[in-house]
Amino acid sequence: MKRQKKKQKQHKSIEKRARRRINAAEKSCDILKYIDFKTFTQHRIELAHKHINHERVIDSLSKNVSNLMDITSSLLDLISSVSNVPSEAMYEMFSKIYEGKKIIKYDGSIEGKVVSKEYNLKGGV
Amino acid sequence: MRLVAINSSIVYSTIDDHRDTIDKDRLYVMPDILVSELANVYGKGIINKDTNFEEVYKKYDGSSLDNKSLFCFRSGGIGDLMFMLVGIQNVKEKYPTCKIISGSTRVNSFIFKASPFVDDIIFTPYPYDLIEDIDYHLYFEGIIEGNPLAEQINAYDLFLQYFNLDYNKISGKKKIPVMNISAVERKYIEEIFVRLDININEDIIVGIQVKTSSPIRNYSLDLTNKLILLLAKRNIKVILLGSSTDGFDLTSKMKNIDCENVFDFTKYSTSIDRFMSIVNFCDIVIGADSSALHLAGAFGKYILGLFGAFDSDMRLKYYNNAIALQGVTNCSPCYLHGNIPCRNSLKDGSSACMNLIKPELIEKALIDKLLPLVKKG
Repeated sequence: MKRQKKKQKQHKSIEKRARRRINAAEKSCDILKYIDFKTFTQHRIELAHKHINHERVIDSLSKNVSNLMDITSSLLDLISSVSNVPSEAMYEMFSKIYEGKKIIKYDGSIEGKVVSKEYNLKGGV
Repeated sequence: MRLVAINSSIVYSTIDDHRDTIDKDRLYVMPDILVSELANVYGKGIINKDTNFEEVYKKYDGSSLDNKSLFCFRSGGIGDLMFMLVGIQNVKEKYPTCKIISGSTRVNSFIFKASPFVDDIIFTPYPYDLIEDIDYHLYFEGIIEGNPLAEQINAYDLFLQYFNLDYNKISGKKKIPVMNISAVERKYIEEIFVRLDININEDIIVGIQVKTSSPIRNYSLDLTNKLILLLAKRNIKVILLGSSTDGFDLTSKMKNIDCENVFDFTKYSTSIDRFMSIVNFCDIVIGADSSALHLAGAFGKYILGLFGAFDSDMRLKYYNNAIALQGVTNCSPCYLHGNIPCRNSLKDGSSACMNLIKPELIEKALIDKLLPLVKKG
């Protein structure tokens, strides 16, 4: 009986902490705090699912240009897992808003090229 | 920079195990960070005088330095001190009677010791009584970091400009640091090459600098591993360059460190003059924007630079026989400095722009463009 009560108490404190974290992520519009959900246990993800205002978070994310550059496929998968929006669709949505700032492609590869330059190349050092 | 005196003598160990003293009631010029460290460790009460260095700073204004003295100092890394060195040698050429005194940490002072143009060296923290009689001072903090000009002007030109010299009138040849290797250290390193059965007259020796001082400029360890394997298979002697403190990191993370044709020379780089000697034995130096590239440039070695966060023009423009591979993404070059990975870094902390440069591409550039120029064997 005592052990059960202790477990219930612990459970409540986890819920409390998770809710606090969700609120912080929503309020600060900080995608990095959202990423913290990655470290959540299945229980916490379910909890986040229950309490989070997904529309509000996605809206905040789309307004936060600099942080959006952190978006990679794995992060999209993560957001997708708690928001029920397919990650590919979400990637398309973000890249439309922030065209030209895309660094990581959906498949995880890097968008860009390598330029070769030569300086005073003449041999015979 | 602050002008500080403390009310109790302190003996402390430097990074190279040297014991230095900060004397009681003696005025010292020291960076703000050292003042706050002293206050944190010994309590604020230890500082009995603290004023801004600007109050006593006699900034060099470009006037004649004939029979005058000039104190130049900076607390940056090896590359920054080498940029400074080019300014010093051009000032000395213009005013041969000028006495040049340089200031740096004891560890980095080997860079100045290697220059025939530096007359004297003072170690940080600088005792004010040693510098108050010097005619002019120049300190170089913030000249690269956070300076928008550093994104448009080559680093050597930027430092020359700070010395009040017209860099457009100075030839490219005079924008390469002149440095002499210590004969003792050269002999010591040569013996290591012999012991490891590397023929310095016949084997092609490629040095790879694995780490820079900033994760933003680093080339990923995974990709470096692949590159090492590719080169070792071609019977090239690959030696790893870096400080001896990097070695602890490398041996645990780099899988190919013990394979044939690969030699970890970080463990022999116990001082900067040894590191300089090792770079001097390389035919080609590959690396991100860091000390080994600049030393290779000074010693006339072939260079293959890997760039992302900085435009290679800002660093390699005046060196001979240099190639740069520049990773270009939507966010690069960003000219970011710092000790934390950039926001677009991958899981291992390396920047996205640097990860665009594949080891196969480096190998191809090396084989096609640099190896045919190396005359050996």
